[in-house]
Amino acid sequence: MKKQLSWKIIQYILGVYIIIGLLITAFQVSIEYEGIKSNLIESMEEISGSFVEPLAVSLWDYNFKGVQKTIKGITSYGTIVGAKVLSDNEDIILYGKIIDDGEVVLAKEEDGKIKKIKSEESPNKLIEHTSDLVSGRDANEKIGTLYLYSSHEFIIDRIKVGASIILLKFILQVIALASVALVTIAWLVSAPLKKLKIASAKINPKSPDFSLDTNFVQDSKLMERYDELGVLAKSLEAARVALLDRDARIQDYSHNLENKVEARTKELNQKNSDIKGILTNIEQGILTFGEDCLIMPEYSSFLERLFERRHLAGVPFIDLIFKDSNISENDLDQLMAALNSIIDDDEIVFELNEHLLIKECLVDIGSNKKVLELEWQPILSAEGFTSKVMLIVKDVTEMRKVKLEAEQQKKELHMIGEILNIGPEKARELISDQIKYLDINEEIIKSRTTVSDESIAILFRNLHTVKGTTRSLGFGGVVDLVHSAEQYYDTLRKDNSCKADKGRMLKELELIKESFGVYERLIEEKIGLKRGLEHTEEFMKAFDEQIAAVPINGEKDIVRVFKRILNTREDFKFIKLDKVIGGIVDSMSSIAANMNKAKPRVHVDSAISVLKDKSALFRDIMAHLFRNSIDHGIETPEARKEKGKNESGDIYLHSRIQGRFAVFDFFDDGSGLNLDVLKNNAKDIELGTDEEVADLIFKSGISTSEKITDISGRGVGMEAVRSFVESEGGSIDIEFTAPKENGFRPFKYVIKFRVEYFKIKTLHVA
Amino acid sequence: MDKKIIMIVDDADEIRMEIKALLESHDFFVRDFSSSKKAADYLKNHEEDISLFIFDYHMPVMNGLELCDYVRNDPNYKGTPIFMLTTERNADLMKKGKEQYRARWLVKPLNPPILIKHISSLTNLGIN
Repeated sequence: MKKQLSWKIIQYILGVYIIIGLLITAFQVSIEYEGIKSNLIESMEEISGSFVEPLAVSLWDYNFKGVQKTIKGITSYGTIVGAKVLSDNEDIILYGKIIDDGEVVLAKEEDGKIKKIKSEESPNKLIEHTSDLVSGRDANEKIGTLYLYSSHEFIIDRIKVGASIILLKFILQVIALASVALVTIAWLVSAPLKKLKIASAKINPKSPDFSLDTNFVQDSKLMERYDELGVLAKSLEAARVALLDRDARIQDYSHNLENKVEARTKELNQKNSDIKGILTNIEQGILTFGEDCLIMPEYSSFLERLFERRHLAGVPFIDLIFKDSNISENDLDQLMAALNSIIDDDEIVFELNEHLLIKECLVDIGSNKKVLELEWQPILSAEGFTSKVMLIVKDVTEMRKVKLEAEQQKKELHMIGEILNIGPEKARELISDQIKYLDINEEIIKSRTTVSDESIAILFRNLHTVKGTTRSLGFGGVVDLVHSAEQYYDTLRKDNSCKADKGRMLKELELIKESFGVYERLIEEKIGLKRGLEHTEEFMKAFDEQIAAVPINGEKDIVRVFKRILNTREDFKFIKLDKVIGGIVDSMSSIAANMNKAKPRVHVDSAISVLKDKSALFRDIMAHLFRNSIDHGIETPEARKEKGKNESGDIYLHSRIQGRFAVFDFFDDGSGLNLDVLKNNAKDIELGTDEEVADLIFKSGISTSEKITDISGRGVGMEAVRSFVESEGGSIDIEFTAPKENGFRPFKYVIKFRVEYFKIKTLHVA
Repeated sequence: MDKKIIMIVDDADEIRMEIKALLESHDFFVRDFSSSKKAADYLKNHEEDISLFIFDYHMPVMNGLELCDYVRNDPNYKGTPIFMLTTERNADLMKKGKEQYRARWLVKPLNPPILIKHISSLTNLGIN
């Protein structure tokens, strides 16, 4: 209660009011007092006025008894407590009223004498009034003084009532004021304040009454007020609405946040499981390591399969990868030094040392040798420092092998091209000439302990000859070798101080011979030219046939026979087609066996002959087509059986003349061209018609075969074939022979050659 | 624009000259010294705006890290990039070089194009 604002207000108001009221009352009482006092003095004047004359007379006459009597009369007035007469000569004639127990004892008559009494002892309590007593003769002659005394007590007695009334009035006023103030304050301030107090408690989140649900200033009158409390109530209500709004927004926000967190968590989980999935399924060894160079627990499963080792977490990656590798200690030291530099420094340091990180190595894993390709990636911290390094290990063994083989094959094709350019027979002849020179050189070097200037000159000359011939042959593979050997001879020849290194010279010769050997092998194996004199044999056989066929009847006949023989010589420039491709057809059985296929039946026009000079080229081309056919075209016996075809398959080579061209149709009864696979393999090329797709097989690197075989299907063959054909002014194209079925479309190769290259007995004129 | 100055300190003449030639061919001005002592003396007596330091670690009397210490105590070179060349691995030394002197370690043999690329960008930025 005492803490309430209203109580304080009332305290202050009443306090001030009472103080002021009391001051006013005191003032009123003092005025009343003065009034009564002046009345008293008036009546004392009146009394003295009426007794002055008889007193003066009595005094003049020295009639003390009269004086005494008069004073007695005066003192009989209730208001007069005492009186005295003082003569001029100070003979005091005093007479007073005796007040028994009071101090007011003015005079006393004692033994007929008048004695001074205590009248002066307490003058403050007495009200004194003096009047002059004058003689009867002269009014100006003062003969004594009359003193009248009254008491304050008379005033106080009289004032008591008035003052009580005033005080009572004041008390009533105070009570009235207090109650009015209480009621007013309670109505205007306390009650609204109490409501606001409750309301503000509701707005405080820490209070137990906290609630924003309802309008908590539920006093519409308070809300309508325009005074401070009204404003306060309105702002409280506004605050509640704002809080409610904020609450709603917070709830909304937190809800959103929850959703977001949930989504993010989901995303993260997804990512984690994606990463896990990647690490489990990727066909690459992935590992990370930090400063300690130990493999961290998150590595790809493939790493275990690759190194045929389990539980790799915590293993030093150097041990895992390089322990059984071809990498030297020195290179490993460099690698470790580079990694030490890289870790905990910025990307610049990574790049500056990156070249020392080993990119490829050959490792022994179990009984296998594997070629591993290594890729190093820095993993940067938020500050941009390399905290970890990721190492990606790829097994490129197969890829390298295939690449090597493809390169080998390409090289061989190129060499075959070089051979065909000059003709295999001539090539072989020239090669054997060169080898003779090389043998001479070898002999010279071997037979002498020191190589003399003369010998050097011979050696140089021989090798120079070899170089010249090789160059004119266009054998790129050998020219460089010969050239560098010749350079060495030249140096020896010119600089006497330089001592010949026999070992080096022999090694060089060996390399050149090996290189020629490759060409020789290609001539024999790929072009099919056997050493020996089969031409002569054939010629002799033909000659015998002619002679035997012609009956000789004298001179004329002999001339005829020789003419015929000469014609046959002309004929002998051509070889029958079936003979040209005989070797190929023969080899079909082993190729087919290799492919688990039956040997196909081959149907060739036997009426056509090929110009001998061009037969090797023609054979080479046909070899490709036949091999392609058996590799991609003819299906396995099972597949053929299912399709209702004969198990072995058929390959056809038909010829016809068309203008200036001999046209060959080459086709088989296999599945046709797999257009879908072709299209897939050539993702980057835009293709429209089936013809465009089919033409892809003449492009390098594209093949329909999903499996790479030894025979063909590496996509290099057909490109070479086309370039051979075109280099002879011909063309090779694909023509479809039926519509597409299950992605495959039957087709034939149409090969055009200059007609002069062929001799056709039975002409299929188109 | 003035040429940027790069200081090389390496007691191996061949490597120092090789780097010098490489940098000069890319329009840098090179101050080269065959010992840390000479380099420190030079720095003491000359006010020069050196943009980058290349120190070999392994040098007699005063090694590359000690030279780093000297250079970093010079208020002019508090933030100048330092490349520290080394052939061997020593994790503790490398750590000290990185943490105390903000030196970047380069393991020999160097990769010239990458070296030039980063020297150009570091000296152009003018910050470490």
